Amino acid sequence: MRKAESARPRRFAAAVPLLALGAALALISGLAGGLVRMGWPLLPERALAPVALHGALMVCGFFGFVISLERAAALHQRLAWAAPALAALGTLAALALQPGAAALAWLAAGLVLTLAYAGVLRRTPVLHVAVEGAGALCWAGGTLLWMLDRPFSVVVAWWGSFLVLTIAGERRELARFVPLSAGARSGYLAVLALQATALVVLAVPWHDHPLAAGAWWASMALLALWLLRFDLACRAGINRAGWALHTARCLRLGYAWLALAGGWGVANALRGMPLDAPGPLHMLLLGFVFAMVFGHAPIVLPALLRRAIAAPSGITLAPVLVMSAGVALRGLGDALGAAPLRAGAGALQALAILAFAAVMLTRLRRPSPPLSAR
Amino acid sequence: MPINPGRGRPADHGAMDTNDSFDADRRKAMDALTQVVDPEICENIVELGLVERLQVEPAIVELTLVLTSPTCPMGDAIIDDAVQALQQAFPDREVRVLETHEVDWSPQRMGAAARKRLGWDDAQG
Repeated sequence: MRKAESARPRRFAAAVPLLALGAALALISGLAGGLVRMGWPLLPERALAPVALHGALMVCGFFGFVISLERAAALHQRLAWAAPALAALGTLAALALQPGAAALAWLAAGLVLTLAYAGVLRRTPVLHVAVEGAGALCWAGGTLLWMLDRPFSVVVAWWGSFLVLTIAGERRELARFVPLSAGARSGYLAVLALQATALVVLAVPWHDHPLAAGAWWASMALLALWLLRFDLACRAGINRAGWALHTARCLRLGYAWLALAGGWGVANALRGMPLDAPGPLHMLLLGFVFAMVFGHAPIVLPALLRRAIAAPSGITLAPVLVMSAGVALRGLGDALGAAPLRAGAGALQALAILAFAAVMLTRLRRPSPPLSAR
Repeated sequence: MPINPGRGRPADHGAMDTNDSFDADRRKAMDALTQVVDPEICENIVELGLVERLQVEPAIVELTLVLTSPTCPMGDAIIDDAVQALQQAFPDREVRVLETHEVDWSPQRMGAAARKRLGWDDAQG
């Protein structure tokens, strides 16, 4: 066989086990902390960090790590690899009860990721990269606000926007494959402008400003409606099969949760409740964000790991359905103030994540034949 | 199947030849590349307009791709699959797959069939 050469040197594969460990550590500790908060006695009393830093571990330690890892693998820039490394360092510092050091590491990770996007934008000025870059900036900004001891509802808004804008940018990129009217393009920008305005107002020291909180949640609901109407996954008449169909189903379910979360958040704001009141926030993070993860991972993970994946089966949708059941139960528990319902929801949600991990582990194959053979 | 040269770029007549075996090789290469599919869009990279330039010579096959996004995590996989597809079609030749950033991808690069499947109504212009 003659020489075959691709233009992209492969650096990612060798670091996979170490990097996977970083992600797993953040996810497990964050989940455990969340479950303890809901009454499950999973951790010894001295294990304070996962409970106290549950939100930070999930957003910065896990999602920040995974997102920056994915980007580093795509961009092939040495500097970009510092972002997931710093995110992992932040997790270790958090678990060692050094929240100050963790915050510094996560702030640095967010800034590195933002710089990586800025570099791409200089070369290729496209909207979806700008939106994803804005998401990275929200990660850094939220972490800075956390370090400055701003109300956690404000921190959560910025961190939430990190996740949502990253997804919104990715989906906008894929929306280029289908026709988009001028109205749809403008609508997308208007929704993002609303969210950006809300974030800026929230960051100014008028904490828990109800109008800004309501605007932030309204932007989430409007974004969900935009996605349900214009996203590639929601377009009728497109023939989908296999994992592409699985992805589309997960995304539609996730967008529905985002719409519900946004509507509930607006209703809360109108009643003068803080942005991070129980209910809509977890609906956004667990119902929407995890639906995105469950939908995309079967496509992205095999590509990153250079492994084939077996075709989806009837059981493949189970994790996202169990998660949705947990989100619904959690919503009911939050609305009624019922701790047992919350605890049951937490168990379902943890089960969903474990089930998803099991599905991926059992469906990933080695070695990696060409895409055409899958 | 002719390569879509992309908006504003003239067709690469330097890579075209009326020699029958050369045309057969180009068809063979393009057929091989239709096996490389974007798993989320479910379209092959030829129909998606990712093929910017294809040079088929007796000793080497060189492909230049335009990826749809610099932040797409699928880029490596698509490039690797293109390498494998061309290597399978031409086991006795050197295969090289490059990525260009000089050209931006746009929906106009997609083939007519893909555009129709994805809902574009080109009949209305």
